[in-house]
Amino acid sequence: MDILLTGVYVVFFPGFFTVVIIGLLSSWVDRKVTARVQYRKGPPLLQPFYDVVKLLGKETILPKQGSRFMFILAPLIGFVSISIVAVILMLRPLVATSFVGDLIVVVYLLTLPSLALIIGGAASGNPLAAQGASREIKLILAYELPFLIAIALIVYKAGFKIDLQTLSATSELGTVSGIISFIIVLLCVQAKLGFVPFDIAEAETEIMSGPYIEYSGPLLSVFKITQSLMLFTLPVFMITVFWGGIQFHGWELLWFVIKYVVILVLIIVIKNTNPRVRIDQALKFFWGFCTVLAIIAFVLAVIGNTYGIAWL
Amino acid sequence: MKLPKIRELIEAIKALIVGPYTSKFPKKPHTPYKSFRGQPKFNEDYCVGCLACEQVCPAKAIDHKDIKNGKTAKRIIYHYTDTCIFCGECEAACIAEHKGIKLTNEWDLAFFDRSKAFETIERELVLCEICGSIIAPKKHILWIVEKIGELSFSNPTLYQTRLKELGLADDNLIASIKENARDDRIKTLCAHCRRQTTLTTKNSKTGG
Amino acid sequence: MKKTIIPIGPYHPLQEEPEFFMLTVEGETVVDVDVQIGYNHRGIEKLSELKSFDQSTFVIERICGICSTSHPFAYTRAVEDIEGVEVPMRAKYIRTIIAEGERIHSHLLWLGLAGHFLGYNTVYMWVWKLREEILDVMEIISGNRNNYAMFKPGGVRRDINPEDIPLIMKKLDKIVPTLKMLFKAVRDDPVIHARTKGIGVLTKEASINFGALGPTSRASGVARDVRKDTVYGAYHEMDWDMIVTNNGDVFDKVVVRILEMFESVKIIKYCLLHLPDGEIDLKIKNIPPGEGIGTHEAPRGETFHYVRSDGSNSPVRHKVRAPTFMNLPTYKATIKGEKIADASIILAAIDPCYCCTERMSIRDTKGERLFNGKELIRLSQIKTQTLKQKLGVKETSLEKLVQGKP
Repeated sequence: MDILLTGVYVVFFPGFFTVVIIGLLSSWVDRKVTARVQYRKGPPLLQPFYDVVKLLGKETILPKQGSRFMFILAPLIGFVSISIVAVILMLRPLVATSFVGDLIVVVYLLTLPSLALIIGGAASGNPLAAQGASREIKLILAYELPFLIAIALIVYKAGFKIDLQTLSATSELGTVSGIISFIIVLLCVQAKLGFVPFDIAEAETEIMSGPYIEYSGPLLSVFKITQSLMLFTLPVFMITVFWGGIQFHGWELLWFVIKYVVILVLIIVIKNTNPRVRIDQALKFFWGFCTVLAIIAFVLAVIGNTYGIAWL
Repeated sequence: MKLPKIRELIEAIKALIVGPYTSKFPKKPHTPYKSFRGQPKFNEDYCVGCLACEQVCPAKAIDHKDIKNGKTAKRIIYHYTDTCIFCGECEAACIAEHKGIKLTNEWDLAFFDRSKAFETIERELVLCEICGSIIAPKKHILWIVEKIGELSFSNPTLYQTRLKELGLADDNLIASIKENARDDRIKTLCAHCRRQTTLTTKNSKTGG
Repeated sequence: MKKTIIPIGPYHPLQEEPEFFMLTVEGETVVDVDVQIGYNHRGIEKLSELKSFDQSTFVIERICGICSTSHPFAYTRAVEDIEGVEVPMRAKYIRTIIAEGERIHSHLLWLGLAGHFLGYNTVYMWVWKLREEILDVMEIISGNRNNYAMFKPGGVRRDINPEDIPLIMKKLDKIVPTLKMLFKAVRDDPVIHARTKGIGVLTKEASINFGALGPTSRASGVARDVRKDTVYGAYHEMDWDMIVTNNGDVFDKVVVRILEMFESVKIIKYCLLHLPDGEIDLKIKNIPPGEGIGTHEAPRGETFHYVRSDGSNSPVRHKVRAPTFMNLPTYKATIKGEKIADASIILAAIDPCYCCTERMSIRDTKGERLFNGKELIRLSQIKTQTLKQKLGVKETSLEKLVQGKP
């Protein structure tokens, strides 16, 4: 029975299916709010589902040049990895356990969708896709550094515990260093999602969606689902690590929804009030501004810990 | 003062409150401004069939066809709605007080079958009594008569058409005139036949 | 470093029209560019010769969907130049109003697209929403949002109804605050600065050498504007400023265009308030033999039309030069050494309009160009020679001099 229950947890609730549905709904929220900010009407509620269904019914065109095997495999890698992250994050509050080091697993798996994009782009044999893939590599190099420093800060504050159960028990937003690292992670999440101002890899008006250029039909829909899953998973990850985690009972659930919506709206607002930056500017921004800020936050945290100043 | 991003945020919040700019078109019909140049439409009451609009149309969207059927003939003027560019030249050139063809405010012009994308108006034609060729639409002749007033009595084509229209000249009356020697002069004639009858003293009936 | 070729076009989401730019790229840096045109030749000049002088304006209007006033304006000026007549004052004012309204809508359209190319879709939508107001103004005046059908040789086709003026004023007043907000937002936004300042710099010398026109040249510090340089329309009747900046980068081109819109609003308002009474049309009956040129400062620069008449009903030769024809080559100067990510915005910064500028080019099946400039000149000389022989024209002394004969 235990295995069956675990299966239900993983596949239906709060696992795969639930997450996909919430993810697609979040992408609807993104599109709707974007539209309203731009004085447009926006799509109906079920539009993301229609899109996926439509793409599933379309023909898959495989490029003649390039590696077909990797071309097909790439979207699946990204999809599977982000699904695992989603299940880990959502299952933890439900069964109230986690294993040591699941934070590291999650952080690793969160890079995989970007790697999948690089592999897919490189495998398609299109010069524009190659351009996009190389941009994505640079972007990963750029944002991973401040991202990891910010995560390390939280780990330090939690007393070097690297399981999500411990991290989710406390909210770090009461301290200055916590807020700074939250902002840095928010910006990194923007880059991870491939949203403006960091949609450099798939810039439509520069390199025509870059790595996605040769993808069509079901494979493209897998990429789209991966993106909307990330739109759900990354904020949930932020809530788990920074903002007191998720509880599935009573008012806590509502509190979780509010937190999620706040982060989602922040992401959408950043997306809609910025132009796209260039890759070298993104690199400068993450390695310069963000990394320095993250290190300052770390120093503040260390000072706070040593001298017992709670608000640092 | 430098206020980066603040104005955008204010505008974004304003946009969220004000709501979409999109019009609720199918539910709420769109009414264009009064001066809007929409589909040109023929006016049955005013159009005289003079083809001035065809002459000036830059897109050649106006065309005509004269159909002769024995003693009667009619002119069909076509306005091809798919080639029309809504420039309003036809209205500007219309001799009938710019009312024979007029731009409307109609803008919802989508259609499926291109071969049916035209409008027509029919005008009765006046035929030459000798050679049977086409002179002009009856309404056009009447329009000329109205314009030139009593001067029209210098031209039998004009006054005869006019009198017939008024019901003052019927076939009996005309038949009685025909007894005269130069009855060919008092006929509804095309330009060519009029020249012929004027230059030569031939009687068309007797051949002398 | 390995060189790769990144194509922009013939069909590219960046461009509304087909045109082909071959960027040679080292890593992310553009080292060379090859511009290939000829994908959209429509034979407008020939079409114009088949229509009467009056009807031609409608063909000319459709050279460009955006500059649908500039071309007729220049064309009618060319025809009036043949006859040597002056248009009535009221017609001049109405022409100016239409031309400036078009400038606002064209610059707004460009501003939105520039935002789109930078990935700033919010600005794109806001600006295009704002553009609706000026399009409404155009609809009130001319009866259409575009392709106004207002111009004719000798005047204008429609009069402005005095009852509409308050409504037009209201709509114009609506534009200004939003435009001010956008201008200040662009001025203050650090991210826009990062993307546009110092990017695609066209120096003053390069601008003069390439013969750049309109905002492209004015952003580089070359103060030339047909509206100021020649007397036409109602431009000399009022005070307005020519916007000139000195840096020549993309940011300056944005600033020039936004500030020009304020000037245009000013000009339209003046014209509406001081609209003189009188005729709107000279009712030209026939056009004598001769040739004439007409220019107009289109939103993108100087539009040039040459018309030759032989006294008949239609032009014998009609030559059109759209501003993009002069502005497009500056791309070669601005793109080299820039990042590929900036290629789109640098290209967009000249506000290219390919359909208007399109020239025919003959290629073989491998895509090689068959006739270059020298050969075309040779062909033209041969044609002139045969024509002269046919007509029995003797060689002029000048030609003898050129050919080196005593």
